Amino acid sequence: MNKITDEVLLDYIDGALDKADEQFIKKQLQSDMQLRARLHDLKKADKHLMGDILHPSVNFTDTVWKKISNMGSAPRLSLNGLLIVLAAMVTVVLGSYFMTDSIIDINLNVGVPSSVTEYVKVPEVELPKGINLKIISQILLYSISFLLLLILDRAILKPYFRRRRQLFGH
Amino acid sequence: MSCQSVVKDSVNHINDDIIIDRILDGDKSQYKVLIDKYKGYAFTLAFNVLNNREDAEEAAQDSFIKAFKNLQKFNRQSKFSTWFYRIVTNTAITKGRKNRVVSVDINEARTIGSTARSSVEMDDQKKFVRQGLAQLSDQDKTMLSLFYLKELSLEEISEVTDLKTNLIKVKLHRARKRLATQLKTMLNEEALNL
Repeated sequence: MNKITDEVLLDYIDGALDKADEQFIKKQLQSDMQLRARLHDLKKADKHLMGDILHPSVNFTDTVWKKISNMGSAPRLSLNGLLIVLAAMVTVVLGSYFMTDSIIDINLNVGVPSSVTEYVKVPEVELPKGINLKIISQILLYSISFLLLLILDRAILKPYFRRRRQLFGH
Repeated sequence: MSCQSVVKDSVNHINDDIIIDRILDGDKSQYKVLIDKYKGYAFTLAFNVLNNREDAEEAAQDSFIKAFKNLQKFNRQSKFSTWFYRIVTNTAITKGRKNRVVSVDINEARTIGSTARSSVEMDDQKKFVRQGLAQLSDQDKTMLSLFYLKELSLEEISEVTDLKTNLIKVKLHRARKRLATQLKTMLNEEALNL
């Protein structure tokens, strides 16, 4: 061994050198003051950290156990709520699509077959002129959207975040 | 590693497996045994990465909860401790990153606060070692902590950190040298300030 590097000294500290090298270092340490100082410096940090186990708070185990126990009682996501949200989403998307493309053309004056009118007098449906069907459809769509957000909050978001808070406490 | 410590290690390993079997069979309260056994190691590891008691405690608690939730996925190819330390390391590093993003100033203030607190508990040199450790990269801190816990072999540290054994050895040497140099510098500065 020509030069005693810090790596070699660290291996010496860890007891990872073979017998011959270890003996060589021991011999050098007896005569070389600088080498002894280097070894001392390298050992210093080891001395303070090696096997030094810190202790958490006294109620650590209880706190973790309480959180784990709460996991079972944490609110779960409601499947029904999820289905309602999906149905509402589909309704809103389809409704918006048909309305924008003006595909919906609501005509309440549905033709009644003449075979029926022969025997029964069907009154004609006359909507008051003030009623705009398009506006009614839009109001309905907005209401469904509002309900969608409300159900999303109650059935999905709130249970999710409450569960998270119960499990992780933040 | 001596013959006695190898035997002790394998007995520990078997004990952990027995406890895990009991938990998976439905006796969940057995998990308390694992918490009691590993809480010190988990807290030390998290503290060495985060350098703050409250954050370290939170990270250690979260790690136990994550380990419990994923216990069925633990494939027993490695020791429970190796698998668990990996969870602790990842949780602590993620928490450390999050804290840095939230506010650098607050983080600094808390570090100074915790250093001041710990100075009461630890002697000066120990305090400087902790300060030196805090200045290393997350990966170096993790490696050194695992090494100093004296719980894991180089192969197991390599499993936790996803680095090759040879690289771990080189990096450990480098980190220990850096720590020793920092400690020397800090002690010299302290001596000059007296």
